Amino acid sequence: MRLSVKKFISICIIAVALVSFFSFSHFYISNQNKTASVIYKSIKSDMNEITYHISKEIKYKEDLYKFRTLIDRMVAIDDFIKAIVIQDNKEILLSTDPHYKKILPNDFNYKEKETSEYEKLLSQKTLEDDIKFYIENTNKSVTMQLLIVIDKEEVLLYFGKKESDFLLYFILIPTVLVLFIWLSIDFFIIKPLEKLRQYAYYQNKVPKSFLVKELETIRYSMVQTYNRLDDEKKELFIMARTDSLSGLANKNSLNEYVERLIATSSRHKKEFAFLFLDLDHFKIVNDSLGHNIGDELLKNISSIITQVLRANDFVARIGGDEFAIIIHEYKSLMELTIIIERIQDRLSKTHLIQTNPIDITSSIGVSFYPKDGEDISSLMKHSDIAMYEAKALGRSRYHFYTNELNERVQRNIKLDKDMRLALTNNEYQLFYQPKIDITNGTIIGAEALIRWISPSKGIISPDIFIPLAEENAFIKDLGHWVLNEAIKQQRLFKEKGLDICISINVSSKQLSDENFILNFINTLEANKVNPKMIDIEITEYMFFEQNENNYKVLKELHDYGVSISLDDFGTGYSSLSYIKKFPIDNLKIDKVFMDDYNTYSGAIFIDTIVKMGQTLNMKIIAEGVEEKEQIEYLKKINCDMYQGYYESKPLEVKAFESKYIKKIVN
Amino acid sequence: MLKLIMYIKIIISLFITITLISCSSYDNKLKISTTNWIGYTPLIYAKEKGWLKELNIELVMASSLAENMNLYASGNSDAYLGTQHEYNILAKKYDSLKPIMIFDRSNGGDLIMSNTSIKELQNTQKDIDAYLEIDSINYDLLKDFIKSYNLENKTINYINEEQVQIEFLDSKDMKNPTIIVTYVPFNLTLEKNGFSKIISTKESLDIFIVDAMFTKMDILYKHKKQFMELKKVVDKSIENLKQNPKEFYKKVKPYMNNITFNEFQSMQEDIWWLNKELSPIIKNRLNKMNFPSRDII
Repeated sequence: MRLSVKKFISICIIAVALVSFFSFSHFYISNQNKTASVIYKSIKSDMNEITYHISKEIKYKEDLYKFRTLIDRMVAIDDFIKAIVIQDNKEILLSTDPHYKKILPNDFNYKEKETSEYEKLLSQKTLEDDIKFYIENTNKSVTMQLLIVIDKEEVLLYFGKKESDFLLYFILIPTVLVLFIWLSIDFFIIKPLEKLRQYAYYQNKVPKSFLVKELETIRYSMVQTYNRLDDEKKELFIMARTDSLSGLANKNSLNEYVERLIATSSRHKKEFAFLFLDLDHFKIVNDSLGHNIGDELLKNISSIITQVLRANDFVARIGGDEFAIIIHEYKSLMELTIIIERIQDRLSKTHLIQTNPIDITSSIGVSFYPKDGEDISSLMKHSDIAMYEAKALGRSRYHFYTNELNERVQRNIKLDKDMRLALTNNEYQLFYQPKIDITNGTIIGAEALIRWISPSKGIISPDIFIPLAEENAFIKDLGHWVLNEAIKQQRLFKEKGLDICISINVSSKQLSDENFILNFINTLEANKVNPKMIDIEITEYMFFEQNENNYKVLKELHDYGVSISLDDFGTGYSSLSYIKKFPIDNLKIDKVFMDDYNTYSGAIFIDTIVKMGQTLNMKIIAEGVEEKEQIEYLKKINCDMYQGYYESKPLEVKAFESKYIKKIVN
Repeated sequence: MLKLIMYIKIIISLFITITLISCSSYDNKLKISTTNWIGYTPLIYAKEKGWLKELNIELVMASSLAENMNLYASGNSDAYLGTQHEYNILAKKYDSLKPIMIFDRSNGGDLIMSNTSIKELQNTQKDIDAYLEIDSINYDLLKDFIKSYNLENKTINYINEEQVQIEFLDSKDMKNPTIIVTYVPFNLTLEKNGFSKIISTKESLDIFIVDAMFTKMDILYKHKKQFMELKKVVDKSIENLKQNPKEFYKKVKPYMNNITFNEFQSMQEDIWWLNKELSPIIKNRLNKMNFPSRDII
């Protein structure tokens, strides 16, 4: 059985206390007896002195009065003597206390052998001795008794004081001292020991400095030791997960990371890309220039990869010249390929290692979670296969694990390239589709629609290239071109007598450009176009993405005089609060609703939209109008404008001009 | 923290309790020594009434003024009663000794008795035996008497005895003209033994005898409360004496050699109580005697 320090010290203290108590008690009782004995003997001695003195001095009984001073003095001096009485068998002859009138009886209240001195002193009322003398000139003896009356009150008071003193000095003060010592031990030793024990066990809270030197030394040593252990643990942890050469994560760390990422991605149903990067012909570098150069090159490459990657991407060195890269949180495949190409591009630049210029390329295989594998080994295997495919196809490239994906990516890359080239080569044109006033059939505006006229592929529909343009941010450049063209065209139309409002489609990405407003206004002013003649068409998607920024830009443009139309109303993410908030001038009913105009439910929708728009002081434009009946219907419900094939398909400028400028002239 | 506070509270409580207990009445007892002089009977009365016990004051009886003084000097009492003579002797030894309570002045209570007349003393050629307590006011009284009645040229045998012994002298046993310097109540027994008063403090003697309680200043401070209460008790006793002398007499009688009530009453005329405010005349007298009255309660 083990005892705690607290219990052990408690036992020691209790033992000491008990021993002390018994020792002190014994001492006290012994002392009490000794004191009582001294008092008793003193009284007895005084009594003997008096009796002797009187016995020797007195000649006649009548002379007893001469000894009055003697006995008075004795009573005055000795506090324990209450009175002295000299008596014979008949009467009291002399007394210090006049209250004693009758002779005092013999005191047999004690048994001398059986009681202690203290008990004797308490129980005995009087001490008695004989005064025997011979009458002068005779042989006749006279015997008197001298009685000393013990002052019990004084005795009790005296020993009571002693008892109180004993209690104070031998019980209370030591108790206080013991308690103080106990509290001190508890505060300075036991509690710190407990803190040390807790610290040794949990190592969570470092105890503050202790006052006791030895404990403080232990605490300090423990803190040092645990800190050192922590540091070493961290170091070991890092070493176990770090590639010593490159400083990148090693395979262990990669495994841990991917396991965690798989769990997260599975929960949120997201994908991530697993890249297997292998340097091309690295062995040649090692063999020809030496391993130290090879190592330096690897360090350089590791550094470059880290720099190129984003903060939340992960890279690990898993072999000699093999690296695994995990990329997640990318918006599209396009973005991913941009990252991959950026890596390869940076790596392919000349490396200067100890005055040796080295050119090296890389082959990257890409697999995706979850479609190419749901665990790290399958992801690694498939990306490895893809990497080998890349090498087989000529190195310095990347290859996806699935062919279809590969092809798609390659297609997009080509399209992206062609799109940008098309802008440089002026392959884009704006077509215009008129907007007609329902009441009088006059043209009041036109929507500018982009077309790509490729010399090799012919007309490419915006459905094909616009989504990609939005994805790769080319939409900003393209959108900027569209704006310039449309505004310029408005001026040109006006110069020819056709002063109509041109509607321009604008995407949210364009609005995020901080120079958009400035460019827009500059273009308007450069072309001296009245802002009221320009209308911006936005989709409901704009309410959802970067809502506040879009609102600010649109408000500013609206305040400038530009009108705002909400395209494809009812097909997206509208809520009435957005319609209330954003400065919308026109609502465009989508073709989907117009196709259904002749059904009861379809008509209700259109009717509701028109009434709502009117109530909100907006103009309503019906899109996709292809039949006369639709126009009749729209007229009935007081729709403002329409647009669609019934009037005209989107026309290139010359065709538009020839159709509508002649009309006006006519 | 709460535990610690609890421990501290317990310790303090125990400490206070035991300290109070240990500071017992034993430490605070006040011992006053006195004789059975008529002027000190208020204290004896108070003792018999139990008032002194309440104040933790013990009254110790001495057989004479000199013995009383010796008891004090040997440390067996904290304060003592006596005349200015007993004060002057010990004042030389103890700087801080002061009178703190005045009881009375002698008005015939101190007297000189003889077995002959003053005239015969003046005319005698024999030695004159003088019995007195030399270490007391008796001596001053005798000096004053000798001077007043031109007895300086006489041979006087000074016999130093305690009053309790002087009391039992018998004129029949005197071979020489005898002078006995005494004070009440010892004169009563001497009268019975054939001695007569020849002079007292009531008559033409110039001496002014005052009875008081004396103590050192440190004792006064230590027992100040007790002394203050004692003063009230003394006043109360004297008041009771005046109101009900018979009751007073019964209480003090055992200490007064069992004198009769009439004897007791006649003794009252031998003193003037001075426990109240001192008159200017008395103050003047005290000042002349160099008797300090500043610390008088």
